[in-house]
Amino acid sequence: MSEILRLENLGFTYGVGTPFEKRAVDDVSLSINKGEFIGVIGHTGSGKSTLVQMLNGLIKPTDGKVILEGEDIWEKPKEIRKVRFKVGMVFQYPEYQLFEEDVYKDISFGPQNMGIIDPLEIDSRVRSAAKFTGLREELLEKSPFDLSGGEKRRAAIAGVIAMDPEILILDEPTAGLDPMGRDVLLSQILQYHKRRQNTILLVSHSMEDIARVADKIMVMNHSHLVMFDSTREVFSHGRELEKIGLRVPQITKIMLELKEKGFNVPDGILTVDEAFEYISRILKKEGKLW
Amino acid sequence: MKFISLQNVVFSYSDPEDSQIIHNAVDGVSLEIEKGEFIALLGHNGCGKSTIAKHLNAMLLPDSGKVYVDGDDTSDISKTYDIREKVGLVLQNPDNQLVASIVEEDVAFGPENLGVEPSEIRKRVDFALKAVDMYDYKDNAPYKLSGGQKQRIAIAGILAMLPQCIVLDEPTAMLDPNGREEVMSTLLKLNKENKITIVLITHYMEEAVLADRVVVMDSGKILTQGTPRDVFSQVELLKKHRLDVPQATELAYKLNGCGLKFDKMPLNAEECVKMLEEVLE
Amino acid sequence: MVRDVAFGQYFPGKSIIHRLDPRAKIVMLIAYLVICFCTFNYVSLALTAAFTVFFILLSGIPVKFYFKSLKVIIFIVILTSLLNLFYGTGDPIWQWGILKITVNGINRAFFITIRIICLILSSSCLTFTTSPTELTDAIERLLRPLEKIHFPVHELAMMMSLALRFVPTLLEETDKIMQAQKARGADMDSGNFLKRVKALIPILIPLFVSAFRRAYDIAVAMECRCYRGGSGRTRMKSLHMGKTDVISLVVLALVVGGVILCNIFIPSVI
Repeated sequence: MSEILRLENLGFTYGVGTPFEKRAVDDVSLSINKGEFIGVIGHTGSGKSTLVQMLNGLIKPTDGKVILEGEDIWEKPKEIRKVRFKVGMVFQYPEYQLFEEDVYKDISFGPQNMGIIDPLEIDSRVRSAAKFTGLREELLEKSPFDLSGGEKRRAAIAGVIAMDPEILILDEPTAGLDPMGRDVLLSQILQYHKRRQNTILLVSHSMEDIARVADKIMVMNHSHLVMFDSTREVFSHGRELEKIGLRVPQITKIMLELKEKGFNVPDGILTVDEAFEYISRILKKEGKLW
Repeated sequence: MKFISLQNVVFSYSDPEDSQIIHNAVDGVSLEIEKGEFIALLGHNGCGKSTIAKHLNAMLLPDSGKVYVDGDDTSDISKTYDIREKVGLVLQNPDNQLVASIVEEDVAFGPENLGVEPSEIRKRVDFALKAVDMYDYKDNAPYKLSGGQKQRIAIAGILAMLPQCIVLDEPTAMLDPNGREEVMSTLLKLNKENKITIVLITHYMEEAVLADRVVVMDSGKILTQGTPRDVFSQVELLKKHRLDVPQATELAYKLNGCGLKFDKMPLNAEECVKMLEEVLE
Repeated sequence: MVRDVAFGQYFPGKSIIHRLDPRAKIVMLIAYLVICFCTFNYVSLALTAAFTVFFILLSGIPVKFYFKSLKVIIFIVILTSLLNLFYGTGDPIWQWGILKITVNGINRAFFITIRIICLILSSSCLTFTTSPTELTDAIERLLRPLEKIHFPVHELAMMMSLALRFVPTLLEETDKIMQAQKARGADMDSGNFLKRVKALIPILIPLFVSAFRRAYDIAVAMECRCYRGGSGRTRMKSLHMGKTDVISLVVLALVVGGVILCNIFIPSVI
């Protein structure tokens, strides 16, 4: 697997030289491979938002480097906008950024900023982005302000996907949606990831969501990167996560406690189906289950 | 009569694109709420639960059917403000319901509108801020607080009107897990200690399981209701309507399907661990 | 961050100035601003400046915040004092082309600088020590006589206080929308004037939409809290003039009297 992004001793301090000086991110080094789906967790104020905003050059690090495809993104500060097309960023409640007369124009805002003039190219980008996010064709002609909440969210995400970024960062894409909306959006993101084969970073408070989609997890705490490992490995450290005020999915916790009570179940169970597998295996052996 | 009683409530709105088409946001809902109850109202966006919430304090009046609050018909305009004093409504976005630039002045807004004596307002504000555990922040500016803290100030703002019931329309949807927990423990405390009736509209199962009664709505109608255990045991029904079930319940349900017999369904991790322990021993 | 604006901020506290009746503070500020621009000699200028310094010290707010509020207007101060410097009358003590500096010009520049600084500092002293609610309350009460001619005093005051309440929220929102549009490649820092104005559209439209949504929400929230206009409303913090208010007003009256006396007996230097 080839590396796409590397962080070297990355750090950021807010308000340097003022009484409000605050270290938001401290000495983060890591390497991300092409095609990985990474979950980013940490409680509010842990520095995860600042960290992800440094990856596409929205925040300039006060120390350390962000190396994208082998190049330091701040090598040529004048070309920082190009980095934003390679590293797409969807903020929390992205529907608040919609502004055009119709959805089509809004989605094409990004591609146009990239300097694409060919209308055919723009058209194909808009339509494929709409498809990826499950936005029906007829909605493209509507005003973005006439869409439902869930549709607005998807239109805004399509606006970033239309730039066809190599890395897509999503900050709490499912916040405020109902369970069904959450479910649908997550599976669309997963499908997009499978087809487009690009790298995705998903920032979320929902451990169940993370467990469902991520291959690896970054855990931020007090501006430090405290864990960066496979999802199973991170969630098998349930007690350590609890210590820094994070939780694990309910099912992971149930299995963890059973293991601690001496039952023969493995660490880091991620889904109900998995848990069911293991428990039914034990019960079948004892003949309590058919 | 019960404290709040909805009788066959219908509320409709016309389609934004074609005014000929009429949708029923609430389609014949009857519901009784007793004093001191903690009710969770569950359902998808657009199932009518927010519309119900606005009926409980006369912000909306039913097209047909009746809503009674403490014996008063909400469509009686002379009672509107009495009803809003008794039943307070807290909304989703904490930023958009704080009206003053200082916490304690915001909390005072309700009683000021009711024409309460200044010294009495002071007492109520102090009481309300202490009840939500935000007294130390009374001189702060709301925009500097966290989401959970802001939402607790919003609750205090309602509490200062000394309501008998607080209705909350997805108060935790925009909060992080810590904020959600702060709001939930505040609500439980108000319900237990101050005997305030709580109607909580939410998407989160882990919040709904803490209620005395869960009411599930779908397309303007009540789908099912009962104790959290009764409701969440109907895993099939909930799944069919694409609603979440706690993972603990789901696991037990799956095991039940293969020959195990749990006499009651677990609702949280602790209960589930205990039950599994028993069968695995 | 757009949020670090010192001017117009409120710092909660318990100083004498904090506890003054906001009505007294507003009346005093207006009288003071008038008298500030009626200082024509160094004695009266010193008297008014001393009055400001006295109040700043009493307010108990760190002096650095006052300096911060000055930063915003430093450009205006320099510009106006330069203009005044070259527009003095009398014999030039230095000349270069049409630019000439006279003693009168130096005095004028000095006076205007001190006056503007006093103006900003004293206004800051008011906003630093008075919460927006108190301010609008005081304005509402001072204007109450206008209600007799059906002037919507309460509504105006309510609008003002809501606007003040939402300033930080909307600033924060602007910040977020800007970041989001930048992430979509919006270019806001280059191009000619027209291009830059055009670049504001993706920020202004979402901002307006959000402001309207918030306005709707807040209206609902206010109705839920039994708001029905100004009649029958009471206030938690009722305003009443106390001993300190009277004393402060007397002190101000003395300053005003002093300035007038100085103007009569000491010749003007500008």
